[in-house]
Amino acid sequence: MKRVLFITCIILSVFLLGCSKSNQKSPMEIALPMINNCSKLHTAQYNVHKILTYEDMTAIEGSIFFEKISIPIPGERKLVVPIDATIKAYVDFSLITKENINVDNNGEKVTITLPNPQIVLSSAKIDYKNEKQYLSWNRSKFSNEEKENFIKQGRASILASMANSDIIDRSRVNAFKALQPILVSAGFSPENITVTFSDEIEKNKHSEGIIKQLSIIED
Amino acid sequence: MALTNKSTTKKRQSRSKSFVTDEMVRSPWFWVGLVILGLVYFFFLRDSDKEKKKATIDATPTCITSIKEIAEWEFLTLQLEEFVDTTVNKKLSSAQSVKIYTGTARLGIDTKKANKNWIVCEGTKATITLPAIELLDKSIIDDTQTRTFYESGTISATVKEKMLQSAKKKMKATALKKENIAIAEENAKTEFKNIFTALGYKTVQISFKK
Repeated sequence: MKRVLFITCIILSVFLLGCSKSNQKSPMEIALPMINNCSKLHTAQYNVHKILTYEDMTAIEGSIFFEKISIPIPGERKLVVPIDATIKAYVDFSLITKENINVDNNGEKVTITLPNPQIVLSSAKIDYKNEKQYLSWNRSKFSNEEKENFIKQGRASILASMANSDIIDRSRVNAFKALQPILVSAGFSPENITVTFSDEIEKNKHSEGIIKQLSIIED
Repeated sequence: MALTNKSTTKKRQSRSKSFVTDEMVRSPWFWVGLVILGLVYFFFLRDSDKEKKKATIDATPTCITSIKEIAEWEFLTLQLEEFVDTTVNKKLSSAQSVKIYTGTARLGIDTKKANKNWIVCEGTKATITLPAIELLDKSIIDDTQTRTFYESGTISATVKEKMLQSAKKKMKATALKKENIAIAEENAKTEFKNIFTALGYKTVQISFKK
């Protein structure tokens, strides 16, 4: 009887250990096309190239007498993935209302206030031919799941690096260049056309506030 | 005394029935084995995540290969997904790959393709001839979002490239359907009408270049 109980316990524990390590994956669903009406003026396009490099160092970690220890496994496991991506900057015209377009009483001067440009990664291509894996004899190949997670991090890194570039400033200038001929055709002379961006107004409001505060202190 | 003798004999009898016998307990190998089992437990079984990976992703600089000044007006966005299943049969083996591609198709106009006099204003009437609605991006797939649903065997870079092109072709066909172009045209008309009405024009006539 005890033997039976002992064997049952072993089988149960093996099952429990197995269950604790398995990850339940959410089912993959193919979405139907999502259609969104929009009005975005794309004004700047940057084509970028990035080489993503990944290296993992596996170590057996455990604890002995409540002291954590880590024994690194020798061998290399490296991955290189080159990516070409296209990033576009746009001005969202759906955020513009009648209040953002001001024509003076004489109908000669026009001021348009645009929302701040935003960036989007419009397309990306992995260079499969130049993708390389460097593996030691004792290390396993990269799984598709690992690669996909790593590439997603690379995508985020590309977008983050674009935030430090001049794409937004260039987009503002190009937005003015794109709107000017439309407004000239609409009968406004180039010197009477003013295009501003909402964050510039915010900055001016802020500085106006400081000036007001300073004048109060001086009084 | 007789009672104690009886109890020891009972204990011996019960031990002999169980797994651990007196002989085993007396053997030093039993204790060595026990210590090894304890160590194995401490090393491998105590922490479920015994094998930990320390990954380093190198932050190589993003090289800007080209900058382009564009004036594209997007009026319809389609978020698309395409499923591509490929089997490659070789002499001795076969390989299969099933991938799900994600892409964004942007329909709109490229104002750089407009005629010289695409906007004509007379009095309170504005006549606008917009360029034809088209796909604003040559490549609509974001390959960084691609998911591998199933893969067996080795899939070459050429096959992966073919799968990508197949997905792209399917997405383009979905995006450039008549009804999608019609919605984009309608949105374009509404947008330009709103702008020119705000600029003071009472009649705004919009058509598309053929």
